[in-house]
Amino acid sequence: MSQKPVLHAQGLTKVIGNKKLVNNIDLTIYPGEIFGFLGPNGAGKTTTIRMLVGLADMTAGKVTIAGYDLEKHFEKAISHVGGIVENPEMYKFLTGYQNLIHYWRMCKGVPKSRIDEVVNQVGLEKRIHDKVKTYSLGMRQRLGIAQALLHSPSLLILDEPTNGLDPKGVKEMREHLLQLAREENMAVLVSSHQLAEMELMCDRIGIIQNGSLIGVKEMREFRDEPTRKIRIIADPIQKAHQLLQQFLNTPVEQQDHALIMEVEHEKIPDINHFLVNENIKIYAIMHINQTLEDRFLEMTGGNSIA
Amino acid sequence: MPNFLRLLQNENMKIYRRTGTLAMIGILILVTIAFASITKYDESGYLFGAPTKQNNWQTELQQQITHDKQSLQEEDLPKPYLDSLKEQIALNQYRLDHDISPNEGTLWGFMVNTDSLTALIVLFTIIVASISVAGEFTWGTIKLLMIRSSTRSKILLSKYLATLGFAVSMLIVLFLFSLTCGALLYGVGNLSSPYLVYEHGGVVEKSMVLHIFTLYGLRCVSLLMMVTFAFMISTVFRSSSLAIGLSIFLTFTGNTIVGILSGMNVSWAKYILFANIDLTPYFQGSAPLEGMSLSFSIIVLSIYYLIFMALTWILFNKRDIVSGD
Ligand SMILES: Nc1ncnc2c1ncn2[C@@H]1O[C@H](COP(=O)(O)OP(=O)(O)O)[C@@H](O)[C@H]1O
Ligand SMILES: [Mg+2]
Repeated sequence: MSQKPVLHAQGLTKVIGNKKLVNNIDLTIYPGEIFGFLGPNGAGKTTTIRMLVGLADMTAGKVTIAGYDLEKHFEKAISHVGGIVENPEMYKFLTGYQNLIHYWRMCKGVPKSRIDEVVNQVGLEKRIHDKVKTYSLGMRQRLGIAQALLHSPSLLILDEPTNGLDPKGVKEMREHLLQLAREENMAVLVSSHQLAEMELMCDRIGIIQNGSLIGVKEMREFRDEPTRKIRIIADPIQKAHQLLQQFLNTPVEQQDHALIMEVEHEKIPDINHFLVNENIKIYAIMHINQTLEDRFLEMTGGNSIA
Repeated sequence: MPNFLRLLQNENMKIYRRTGTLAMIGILILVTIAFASITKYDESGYLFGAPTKQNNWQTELQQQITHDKQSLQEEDLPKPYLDSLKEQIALNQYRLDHDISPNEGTLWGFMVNTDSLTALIVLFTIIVASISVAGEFTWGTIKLLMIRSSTRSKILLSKYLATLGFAVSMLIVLFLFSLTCGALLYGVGNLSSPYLVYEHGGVVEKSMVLHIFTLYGLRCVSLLMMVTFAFMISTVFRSSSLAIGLSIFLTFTGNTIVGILSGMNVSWAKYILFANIDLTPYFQGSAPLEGMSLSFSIIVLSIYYLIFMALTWILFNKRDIVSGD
């Protein structure tokens, strides 16, 4: 990309005691893109995000946000960031609106009318004057996003924003983030341990495991994947196996009454046609759903996992 | 600094929008009313109306003096007791000679007693101070607070000042409410009656109003110290219950601890915070422990204050925010 990055982190490392929680992570995020920070629980996502927003000191490394060094010019750098770290915790004894006033007072040069704008944007108009203790998790998540958007940040950082949301809530969240990235050119960093969700909204994802970033990939590379694994259930299976082995030049594996192979998408009808012509009975041809992680690991070499 | 004022507004909103805080103000008002009614009823047997028949205070004082003089004759009296007897006799004799009735049953006499209700304010302010910092950690809201473009120092300062503001508001509520209750129950006669002090072997007349303000002012010293202490504990341990518990425990046992230690002739007892926190003895012509003076106490208090403040600020600025998990 030719644009200037909004976030640039270099050699980000966090050591507590003798444990390396985050190990030498480099991250660059550009305006208008949604970057997925993917990794199992305990991988170090939250710890990394805490350092990116100045909640935790970095043991080593350097973070630049919108051109400002986070450590040297904290107030300037952080004024470009909006975020939620872990759960969207708000003052429960205040109303949603009072919570927003609270954070609005901490923003420089933002007109008060902006509060109503973000309330509309996250669709909380009806309940905004109720106390937060009466809110559902989804509503608190939306209020959290509203406070993060108050000062129109160039970088939005959300730590596991879909945690605990129902499928409808996840879908709304996804559409909202996509709109922020596409229409307002915001850079969005979302972390998650759920692969399927990331797949639907991210432009790029980075996988973190045991504190190390093991690779960053464009999602397009996943979507336009040339080959996929399929499973064919056929009879007689032995004959089908021999025939296919000759017909394809890739290895075919037999598991009980099924054959497993990796083929190009366009080739699937040909295989079907070929087997039918050879008088093989076909009961099923299906994709094997590999997890995003499996596919990701295949693409990144897969051997860097500890 | 409009930005800083907005931070203060935030902290005030978080203090006064809590039901607990409103309950505290209510309790303070109720306790003041109850205290006034009970004191008045206890003294005169009825609630309203100024005591019309001044009980015969001259006779009572004369009896007291005779009794005290008899006590003086006894042998082996400890010196402090002897001194306080002599002082009592001198003060009472002065009242008789100059026809100044004791303050019992007057508005000023009542106001002098209400300063002890500041203990309640110490208690409430310790709670507010502890929740101010540690509460944000318990609620998890500290994270959103710290990822805004205000430095940690500014946020902490706004919390500290808002807490002190709460203490001052409570003091004003207490003072005005006591004054109102006192005026209603005792009437506003006899206000020119002076405050008598025994100084350098003689009795001196002083302004009663000034005396009451001094009493309240001295209470503010211990209020300030305990609030700052609670603030430090809640920053260090990030737990409001610990900060509340420890500060309240020390506030109400500190004196006893110092008493026990000085009874054991421990030489460093005078350096303990609680030996210095109550400055009233100096204004009544004595000292809390031997070898202490007002300037000594002020220096000791200042050193404690600086240590509390420095620890609070350094720890709040340095440490990672890892709560709310
Ligand atoms: N303050 C801390 N001290 C020691 N270990 C910690 C601390 N905070 C987190 N960890 C450990 O660091 C690892 C990464 O945690 P975290 O960043 O929360 O992971 P994630 O957000 O990816 O689930 C975990 O193993 C966790 O137990
Ligand atoms: Mg996490």
